[in-house]
Formats: sequence, structure tokens, C-alpha cells
Amino acid sequence: MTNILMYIIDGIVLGLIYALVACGYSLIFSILRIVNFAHGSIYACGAMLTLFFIHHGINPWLSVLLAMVADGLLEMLMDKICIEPLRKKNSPGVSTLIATEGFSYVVMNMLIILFGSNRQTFEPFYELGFSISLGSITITSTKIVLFAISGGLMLLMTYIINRTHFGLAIRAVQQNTQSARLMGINVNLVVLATFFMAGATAAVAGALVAGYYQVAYPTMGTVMGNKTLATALLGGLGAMHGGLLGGIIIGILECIVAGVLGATYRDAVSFVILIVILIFLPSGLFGKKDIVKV
Amino acid sequence: MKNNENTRSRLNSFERFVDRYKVIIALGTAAIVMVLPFLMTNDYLMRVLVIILLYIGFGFGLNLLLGEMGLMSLGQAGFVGVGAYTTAILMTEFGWNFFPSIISGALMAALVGVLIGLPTLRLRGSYLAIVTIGFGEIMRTIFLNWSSVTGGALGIKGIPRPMVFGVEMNFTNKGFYFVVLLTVFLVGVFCHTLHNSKYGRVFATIKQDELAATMMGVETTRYKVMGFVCSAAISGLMGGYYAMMQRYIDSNSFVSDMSVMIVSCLVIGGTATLRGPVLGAILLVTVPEVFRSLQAYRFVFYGAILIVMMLVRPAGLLGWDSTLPYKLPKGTTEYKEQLEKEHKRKEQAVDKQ
Amino acid sequence: MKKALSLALALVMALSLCACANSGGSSSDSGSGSGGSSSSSGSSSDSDTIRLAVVGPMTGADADYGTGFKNSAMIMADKWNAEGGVLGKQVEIVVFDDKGSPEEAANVAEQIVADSSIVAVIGHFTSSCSMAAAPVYQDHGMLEVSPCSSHADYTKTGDWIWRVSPLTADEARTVSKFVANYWQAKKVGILTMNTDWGLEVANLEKEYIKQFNPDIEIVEELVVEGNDDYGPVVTNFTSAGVDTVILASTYTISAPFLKQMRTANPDVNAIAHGNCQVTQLTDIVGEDCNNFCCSCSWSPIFTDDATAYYLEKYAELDPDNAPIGDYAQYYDTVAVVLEAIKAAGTTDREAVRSALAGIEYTGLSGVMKFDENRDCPRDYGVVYWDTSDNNWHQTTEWNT
Repeated sequence: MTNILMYIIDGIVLGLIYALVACGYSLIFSILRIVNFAHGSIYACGAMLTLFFIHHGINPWLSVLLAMVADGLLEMLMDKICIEPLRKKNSPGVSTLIATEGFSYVVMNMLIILFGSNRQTFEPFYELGFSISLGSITITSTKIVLFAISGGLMLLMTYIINRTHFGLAIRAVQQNTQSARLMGINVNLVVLATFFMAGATAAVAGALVAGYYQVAYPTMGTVMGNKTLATALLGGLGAMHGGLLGGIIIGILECIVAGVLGATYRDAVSFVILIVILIFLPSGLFGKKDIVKV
Repeated sequence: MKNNENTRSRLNSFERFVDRYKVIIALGTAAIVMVLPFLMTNDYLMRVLVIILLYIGFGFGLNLLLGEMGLMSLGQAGFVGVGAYTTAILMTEFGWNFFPSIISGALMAALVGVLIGLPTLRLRGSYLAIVTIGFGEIMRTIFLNWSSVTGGALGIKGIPRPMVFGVEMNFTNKGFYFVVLLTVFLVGVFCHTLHNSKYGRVFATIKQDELAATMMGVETTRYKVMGFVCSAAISGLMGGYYAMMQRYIDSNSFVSDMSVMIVSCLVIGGTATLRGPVLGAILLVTVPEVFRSLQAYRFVFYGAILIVMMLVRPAGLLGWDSTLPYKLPKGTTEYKEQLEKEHKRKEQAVDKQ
Repeated sequence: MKKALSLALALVMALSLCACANSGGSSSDSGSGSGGSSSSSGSSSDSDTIRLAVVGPMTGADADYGTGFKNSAMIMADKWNAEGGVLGKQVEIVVFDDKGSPEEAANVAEQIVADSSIVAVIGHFTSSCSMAAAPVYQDHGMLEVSPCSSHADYTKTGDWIWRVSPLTADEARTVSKFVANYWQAKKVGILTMNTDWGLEVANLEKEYIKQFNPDIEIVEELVVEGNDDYGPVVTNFTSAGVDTVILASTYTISAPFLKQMRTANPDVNAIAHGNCQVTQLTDIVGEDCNNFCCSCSWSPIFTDDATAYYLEKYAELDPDNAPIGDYAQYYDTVAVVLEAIKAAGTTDREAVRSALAGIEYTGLSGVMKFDENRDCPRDYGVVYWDTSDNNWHQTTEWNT
């Protein structure tokens, strides 16, 4: 019985990580109605860059910050190269999908070429060294810090979106790009800033996860990218609280399946859940139904 | 604007040329395709030809979804795997001949196609894409874990080559190539017929504007499932040949790289046409073989090519819309001519007055 | 412009098909890569060098392994060449890349058998690739000697298929004996990687442990690569009260798992197999790696001359990475094949194959002699990691 409790605790922490990465997908989708398939690679890039900076003697927290900036710029670059030109041509959604998939390949393989494909050690920069025991359940400090940082970041994002001027601009562009432009909002700037935010959250998530499992490698974004996309879709793209709930559901279920049925099935869990939910709720849990005007 | 018109008119003359001489061109292509294997001096080159044919077949399968209906499927490897495993199991465990085995493979894949088609019917664009990715992953997990059927991590070995009238068709006697060529040709004919039939027209309307199609009374659900079923069946059929070519399969053979390769063949070669997958498969199979020294960068180039294609030519290299006038179905033309005759008679009658 | 593009692409396509016909093999670092385009089984053509194909994942996710294999093969070839080569000719290593994909492995196999100047193939690495390529080599009468393949049915493909990689059974027995007799474990948790190797090792170990001590309880968890989260597995092992874990997995899984397991249970005994004796693992597990054991047939800490030579030459080629057991296997396999060519006195493939059966070669990992199944049994030892000096040490007292 205590096993299940432990699975749930692991699942919640895992779920928060998924939700944090899923934020990136949600942000971009809510503004542009496209899925950014390169998000997973950029997440891996964040982890590898952080490691790179740490190896060059830079303070770990500063390394994370630098990686955030780098990733943000990378996402902005992707927008400029792949997404904006297609947007201007009013291309069908599949084209953007394929273009971002292509960008993902480029990023991931450049990482392999630059850093090698091996697993590399990633010292947890947020290791506090204590753990809490409740009966037979041990919760390490890394879990607690991870929980705190992910939760904090998500709260920060929600605050930015809902309570700042900038967030207001984002929401305006989400609802109606034309009107927002007419109201004097610099739509291009808002879009670029959104991409930057998505990249930054991906980098932080990458660094956090790498520190949690103490291993970083260029292909860490493949499985994670797909699962977190499933998380974002489950929650309903464009709804951040949806991503949080989706992440927690998937995290908990994944850990329970891994513990009870076997860890060899865990990667399929997120997709099975997604397919089942999408059958009944095609826009995910909290997604807004797109009203298509005839 | 003028550039566009120029291109269109040159395209038009090119297409009319092809249309006029289509019999000769078809015979010529057939001759090349039949003679080509005999120019291949070793089994390696034969294998390259067969792989090209297989990916052309996979491309035809995906084209039904992506080209005809605009539905993105990034999980075709799942269907291929179902066909491959079914064929492999029937041939190795039960000693079946290759022909019923691949047909069974296609049917199993079609069944799975229904299973994946139904839940995804209400999904659009990106949602559908991620679900197909998920489907590919789920299939791979099943291949890996259902050990009693698929052999699990040990895979299935010793898959024989096809036996036709007691003779083994392999690379050395070029037989395998011809068997696969015949199959791909038949699949191509099937796709072409489907495209020009009423189903093809329904697919086209679904692609253009699904909402309008439903307004016109089209049961889009039925046709979308049909699309998935046909696409899955074709992929499964070719998957059976894939198993026979490799002679050993395990879950590592059907990873997402294969799905992406199939999509890329179509995207680069040209969507919504049959010539597109042909060019795409030829390019994507042969070019990496040539640039072996740059292999470490192959995925970088790959990704870059995908991006460039989407920016410059999203319909693919050969994916232009036909400039030829739409050929109305037989009955319609006759009826049209009849109407025109009557109309002319009436006009002449009016003129006489 | 677009039409010109299409035309250019058609030309590329035609050229590439022609180029395929001409390129029989890829270029390697030592020598050019032009190969014959006629396929024939039998003797190789009269060239000035004796050509051996070395195949592995040179690009892709396992690229680092590929580099290690290539380096090791080169060292052995250079060693022989310095002593006059074999049959009076210099040894040339031709490197091929199977990209870790079974489809590509069969492609490369067809390419290699089309090159009549290649005497034998040393490769592939993963079982998926070796199994996919083996039928091709068997059909065309080309020797495939795999340094690392562990699939149970690999050598059953045919009599051209050999393997130098030590038997999984030997390794499993060593680990089981160590766990049962030396550590005297009461409850063992086996972490099984869901590949043919992982499953086989785990099954064998379950059997052997029961043979050594039927009272030991065993729990097993099946895992796959791609996920670094082993929380539920750790929970299961902890709540079952295991005092020893056996890691039937490669280091990509073993490293994060061991870290997480030892964080939760610092006192648990842990033993893994030869493929975990790598710096990446000890780096990742760090302080928690004390007294972590690995079974191995070879370790860089061996003090014999052959090892010293290998380590010295390897450091010249790649000073940043130390060689691991798998690389040493490639090193030894090249030597075994060369010995067979020498014993046969000719590069005729049939003769070399017959000679292979009688070879008894002492390599880095011990004496290599093929049994009737074309497998190579070997002895295993156990090393342990000591965090006080951050190094591996041999243990011998357990085997009494």
C-alpha cells in the first residue's frame, strides 16, 4: 500500500516536470495555433548548454540563466527561419509541423556532434542534502526543491500571463490577432517574446531534470518531447492549468503502471491516456473548442 | 504575377506533352524499370532498388492520408510493423507461402487502421499528428513486450524469401525485385483508380474543406476511416516484403525514424501525386548512400532540407497541381455533349426565325 | 528557377545511382575505399593488402562506441603491420557504418559481400544489427566474427557466423556465484533491460542463483532505455527488502538507477556486468559508487603487458576516453581473424573459416577458442570500485 503512495509522490514530481515543459507547447500553440515539434530538442539543448557552461567554471545558477537566454534566442531564431515565413504564406498546418520537425533534427544532431552522444554527469546544483521520512516513505530534498522550482515557475508564468500588461498583450493576440494589432499591440514583438519564454522554460526544465537524475545527453529530449506534448494536448493546448493537471495525471499514472505492471510499459502510458481522453474530449481537458466560422 | 503565369503556361505545355505521348512514356518507363535490375552488377545494388520500391509503396500508403485527405500521419511505421510481424509469424511459425502471408499482413494492418482511425476522427492537424506518433510508440511497445507472439526483444529470425512455383525469389536471380515491383505497380494502379473514383473526389473535398463536405451531405467519418484502412493495408502489405527482405525483424526495425523517413519521401518528392513518392524514395534512399563520408551530419542535412522544402516548395518537388482541364467522368461527358448538341440545335432554330 | 532545380535533382539522382555502382566500400582512415563491384564467394582478389571489414555504429546514438571499435581495430592492425603484416602483406582495416539500424546493417552487409577483396567481417555491435546482417554473410559465404553479439540464435544462423564475445552463461554464472556465495545475499533484486541480452542474462542468473542457494528470494523489474526515472522500481525493490541488486542493463540504465537506488538505500550491494565498467557510470553515480562491482573478462586495471600496450596505444588515439570491455573485444577479434588467416596460409575464405575452428589465441580477455557452436567461452572475474582512490580493484578471494 505504501508503494502506491510512493508511486504517487514520484508521479507528482514527474508530473510537475512534464507540466513545466508542456508550458512551452501551450504558450506557442495559444498564440499561433501550431505545435512546435522542436521543443524537445531545445529542452535537451538547455541541459547540455548548462552543463557546458558549468564545465567552463561558471556558477551553476548563472549557467542555467545563460542557458535560458541561449534557448530563448534559439526559439526566436526558429520562429524567424521556419515559422514566420510559413505564417506569412498562410501555409497549411502540416508544413509548419514538418518544418519544426526538421529544425528539431538539426538541433539534436548538432548537439550530438558538438557534445558526443554519451551520457554525461550533471551535478545537481540544487542539492541540499537532506531528506524527510514519513514512515517508510522517504522524500529527498532534490524532489522538494524540484517541486518548489517547477511550481514556482508555473505560478510565475500564470502571474505574467494573467496579471501583467505584457500578459494582457499575449492574451489579446491569442484571442484575435487582427484586433490586437489595431489596438496598437506590436504583435511581432509579442510573438517573439512568447517564443523566448517557451525556450527559457524549456531550458530551466532541462537543467532541473538533468540535475534531478544527474545525467544529461543530447537525445534526452526525444522521449520527453513526445510525452510532454501528450501532456499539453491532454490538458488542452493553450490552457496552462490544463497542462498542470494533465502532467500530474500522466505522471501519477505512469509511475503506477511502472511500479505495478513494469517499467517497460511506462512510455506508452502517456499516449494511451491521451488517445482515450481525446476520444471523449477532442480538445483535451480544458481546451477551448475552436469555433470555426463557416 | 507574370512569372507565375509563365510557369503555369510552361507547366501546361509540359503536361499536355506528357498527356499526348503518355503511352510511349509509360512504355519507356516500363522498359527502363524492367531492364534496370539487369544493369545492377551485385546484390547490394539490387537491395538498394528494392528498398526504393518499398519506400515508394510506403509513400503511396501515406499519400492516401496526407496527399489525398490532408491528414498527417507520423506513425506509419506502426502499420508497417503490423504487416511485417504478421507476415513473418505466418511464414516462420506456420510455414505459409508468402502470398497469403502478406495479404494477411495487409488485413491485420487494416484492422489496426480501423482501431486507430475511429478515435481520431474528430481530431485535426496537430492533435492527429501527435496521436499518430503515440500510435507508433504504442505499437513498438507491443512489438517489444508481447514476447509470446512477436518474440519480444529476440525478434523473429529466419524469415524466408518469397517462393513462386517452388523457386525462391531473391536478389541474385532478381526475382524479389520483380515480385515487389509488381506489387508496387498494382498498389499504384489502386491509388490512381481510387483518386479518379468517387472516393477520390470525396477525399479531395475533405482535404479542401471538411465542414463544407459535411454540409453537402458527405459522411466524412466513413471516408476518413476508409482512408486509414487503405493506407494501413498498403503499408502492411509492403511491410510484409520488408520482413522478407530483412529476414530478421525486431522492435528496433519499426522506430519513429522510419515514420519520419516515409513522411519525408512524400514531402520532398511531392504530395498528392503518385510521382512524388517515387522521386522522394529515390532521392532519400540513394543520396545518403552516396554521401557516406558525411554520415555524421546526415540528420542535420535532412532537417535542413525539410525546412527548406517547406519554405520554398511545400507541395514537394513534383507536387504541382495539374494544369490540365479536369477530365469529367465518362457518363458526364456524353451527357454534356448531348446537352451541347441540343443547345446548338435550339440556337440554330432561333436563328432561322 | 524551380524547373532548373527539378532538373538538377534528376541529374543528382541519376549520378547517385551510378555512384552507388562504383562505390563498393566506404573510405577508412587507413587506405582508400574503392571496392570491386562483382560479387563472388571464394578467394579475394590479388591486392597488396589484406582487407578486413570492421562494422559498427559509427554515427548515431552509439557513435562513441563506434569510434572506440574503430580505434581498437586500428591499433591491432598497426601492431601486426609493424611486425610484417600477415602472409607478407599489410593489413588494411575498412570501416563501415551500420548506424545502429538493422536495415542499414543489412545494407552494409550486402555492400561488403560485393567487395571480393574483403576477407572477413569483424562486427556488428548490437544484436539487432548482427542478426539482420548474418543471413547476408551466410548466403554469400563471408565470415562474420562478432565481438559483442549476445543473441542466443546468432551463431545458429549458419557456419559462416562466429562470435568472439564471451558467453552470456559464463558471465551470469560468475555474477550468481558472487552474489550467492560471497555476498551471501538473502533477497536479490534483478534490474532487467528489455533486450535480448538483458533478458537472457537475467533468466540465466535466476537459474544459477537457485542452483547456488535455493533459499535466496529473487524479485525482477523489467525496464527500457529512454527514461531516467526509476522511482517506482526503487520503491518496489525497497519495499521488497532487497539487500542486493544485480543490474542486467547497460550503463545508460544502470547509472541513473544505481544513483537513485543508493540514494534511497545506501547499504544495498550492487553488481553489474562488463558493459558497466565505464567512467560515465562511476562519474554519474559518484560518491554512491563505493563497493559497486562489475563482472568482467577484461579490465583496464589488468597489469599484463598486452593490456599495457593496448592502453598506451589507445591513449595516443583518444586521450580523453579510456577503452572499455567492448572495445577490447574488437581489438581481440581482429587478432583472432588475423591468426586464422596466418594459419590458413591464404586469404581464401573457406580456408580461413576452417582455420578459425582450430585457433587458440590469448587475448586481452583470456584464452579464445571456438567451441562446436562457433562460440567462445571465457572466464570471468569481478572488479569493484573504491571511492577512496576512485579506481577499480580486482577481487579474487570470492572465487575460492
